[in-house]
Amino acid sequence: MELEKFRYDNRIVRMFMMATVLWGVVGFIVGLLIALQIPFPGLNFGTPFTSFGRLRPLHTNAVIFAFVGNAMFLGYYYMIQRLLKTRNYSDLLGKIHFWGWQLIIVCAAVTLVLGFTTAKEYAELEWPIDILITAIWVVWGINMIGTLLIRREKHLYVGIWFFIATLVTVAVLHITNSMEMPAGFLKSYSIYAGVQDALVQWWYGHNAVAFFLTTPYLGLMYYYMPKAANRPVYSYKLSIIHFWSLIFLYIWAGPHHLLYSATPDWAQSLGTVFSIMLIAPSWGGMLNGLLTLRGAWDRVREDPVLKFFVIAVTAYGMATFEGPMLSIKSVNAIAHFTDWIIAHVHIGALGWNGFMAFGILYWLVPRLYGTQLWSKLANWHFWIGTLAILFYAVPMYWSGITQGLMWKQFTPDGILQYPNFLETVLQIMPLHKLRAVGGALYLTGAVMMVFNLYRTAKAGRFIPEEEAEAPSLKSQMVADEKSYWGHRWLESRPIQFTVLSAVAILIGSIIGNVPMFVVKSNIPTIASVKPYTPLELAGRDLYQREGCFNCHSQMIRPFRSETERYGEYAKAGEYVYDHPFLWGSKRTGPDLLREGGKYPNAWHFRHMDDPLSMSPGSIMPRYPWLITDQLRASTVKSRIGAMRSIGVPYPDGYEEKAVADLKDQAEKITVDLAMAGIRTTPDREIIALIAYLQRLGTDIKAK
Amino acid sequence: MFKNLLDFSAWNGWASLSTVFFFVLFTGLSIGVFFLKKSHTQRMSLLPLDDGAATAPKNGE
Ligand code: HEC
Repeated sequence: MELEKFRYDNRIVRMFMMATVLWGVVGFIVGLLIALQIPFPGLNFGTPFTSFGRLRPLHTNAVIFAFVGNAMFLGYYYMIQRLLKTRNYSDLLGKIHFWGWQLIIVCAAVTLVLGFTTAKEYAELEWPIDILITAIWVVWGINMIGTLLIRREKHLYVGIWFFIATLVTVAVLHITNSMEMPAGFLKSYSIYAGVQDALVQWWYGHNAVAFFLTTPYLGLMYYYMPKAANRPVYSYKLSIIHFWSLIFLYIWAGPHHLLYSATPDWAQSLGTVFSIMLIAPSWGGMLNGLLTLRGAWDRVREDPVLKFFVIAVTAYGMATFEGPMLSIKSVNAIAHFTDWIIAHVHIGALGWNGFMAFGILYWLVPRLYGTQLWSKLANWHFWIGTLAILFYAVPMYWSGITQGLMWKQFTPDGILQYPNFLETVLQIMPLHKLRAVGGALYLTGAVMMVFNLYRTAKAGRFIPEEEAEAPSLKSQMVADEKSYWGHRWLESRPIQFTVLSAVAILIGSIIGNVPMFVVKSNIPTIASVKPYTPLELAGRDLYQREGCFNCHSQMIRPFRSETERYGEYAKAGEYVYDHPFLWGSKRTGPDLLREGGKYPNAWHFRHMDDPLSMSPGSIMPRYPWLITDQLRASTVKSRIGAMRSIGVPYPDGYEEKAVADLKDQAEKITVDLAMAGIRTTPDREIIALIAYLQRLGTDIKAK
Repeated sequence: MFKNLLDFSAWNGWASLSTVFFFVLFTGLSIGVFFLKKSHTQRMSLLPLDDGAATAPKNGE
């Protein structure tokens, strides 16, 4: 067979490498800041741009899409060329992909800080950015499929399958979950409401974990573990079963984020059953990774790259065991809404994704620069990083379990032992300080890595292209003209492979979501539930803008401990006009579903200005700008129109009356505040927010 | 005849059907994988170790 000569492109790999390192450090710094904001609320600095509710999504987006995302592309571009023995299909598409992705990240950072958000976790970015993401994803897709088609290796290695599944599934998830009705530039409403929105969102949210944080990294594991250990993967056969069962099962498990919520029982059971089944493929993959090191454990002691990989894969195993446990209703009842979940995701993020990325960087950078790693500092990074994970996770588990139990504790007389929510918050503050130490250690390790990689690059010379040679695909086809069936056949058919993975993930997606849209009985309506008034809607928009849902849930579960504390449990029919749903996933503050009527308007006014004045010891950030800033009442017209177009029954032409109605209602609240001695004008933002808070949960509450 | 298929109210049945479907596929896949030729799986698992690079620096070792 004649050998063809070609060149691998390392430039694109280097670009993503630099972006990974940069955004990683940024993401960790923001994470550390928000970790500190909880025990030290002064660090919210009293400005809108630095307050917790806006920075928390900045942190999650930065680490998921900027750090983990860039690292996955970095690993991908190096790996795919070598596994397929070809250069990337197009250098230009690669560059567009790179710069487009960085543009998305910058847009995200700017808009989130300015308060533009869809309020859907990990999908917060507003519609113009959503469109940009779709376009850039397609660019990557064309480049990937193109590369598959010009390959010089007939069979696709398992690492590539995982990227194919990532490409297809993230596209489906992103497009479906981002369906929103624009109500202006950088403002939109989810076209789904309430329970439907929740199911679509958590089908997305769960599978963002699956297909953005897991499958691409498994793909990388299957390439870089064997590379670094210089031995083949433990079992190729296992990897086939691992791949197909993982992608098939994962997509069903979303509703485990909604256990005991107002979603139908069948959906919750589905989530639990499939989550538990997921242990099998997850652990199959973990074992396949770890056993690849069989006979090479002595090298693990010396090689920091392998060390990082071992902890990464172990963390993956822990997180994927814990996930199914958390899907069991009785465990979930305690863990949900608490720091336990924060611990769980950080085992995945810091351990699995972070350590995989670090390992790959330490392995790759010396190769890109034709030199050795500059310093043994990498070993220090490893130990500090591992310590960091412990310092992070242990306090968060402790905190989560403590608070979860305190919420549920009754006295022998049958009343809540800790009726004041704040008491349960103050109890766990020392643990939050410890976790910040963990975060600081993790950041320290990362900074050491940056320095080490910088010195490594300085010591060597960048190799922009690498010569390579391989027989052409045609000549391989001729030499191997026997026809095969089964998986071997599939491995040499990229298009068929892509289609089949799409089918695998669509089955669960359809069965898990479609009934919510076609079966009316899934969402019983309640006659007394009415659309929000224009002022309440404006207040709801502010609630989203400030990210209150990052600390407050609006979902009372049907436990006596919750109905005693918050009132009647949540009904699906209460949320039918909630575009988007705002159930939240974490209770740093108390649930607000039945907040309406609980306190006078003046209480809220003072509390928002300075929570400490109403709740001594409170850790909630201050929102003084809501009191000084003017509400832009004119936007309410387009917003009412957008809401009507997605099914909220505002009468035709109501836009014209909306502003007047808004002013009327604001006037009443202002007068009421004046009676309590608070002087303000009806056109302030705080008035709208109070209107919203006072409306919450009153539709079915017996006054 | 197709009415039953389009009636979504018994959706739990669909979920169990999918579970059964999964196990059937899974079993089929496992059998197929069991019979894969060793020469093929061996060659495949060696792919990452051969990157065809003529100038790839051998370092880190
Ligand atoms: C960092 C987390 C955090 C954020 C962000 C946050 N809160 Fe709070 N919130 C708390 C905590 C903790 C409490 C309990 C202590 C207190 O009453 O201040 C609380 C209490 C409240 C209460 C009183 C609840 C009750 O029934 O006693 C209301 C109302 C409230 N928050 C509204 C908001 C609104 C509106 C926003 C967004 C503008 C917001 N919160 C943002 C943490 C937060």
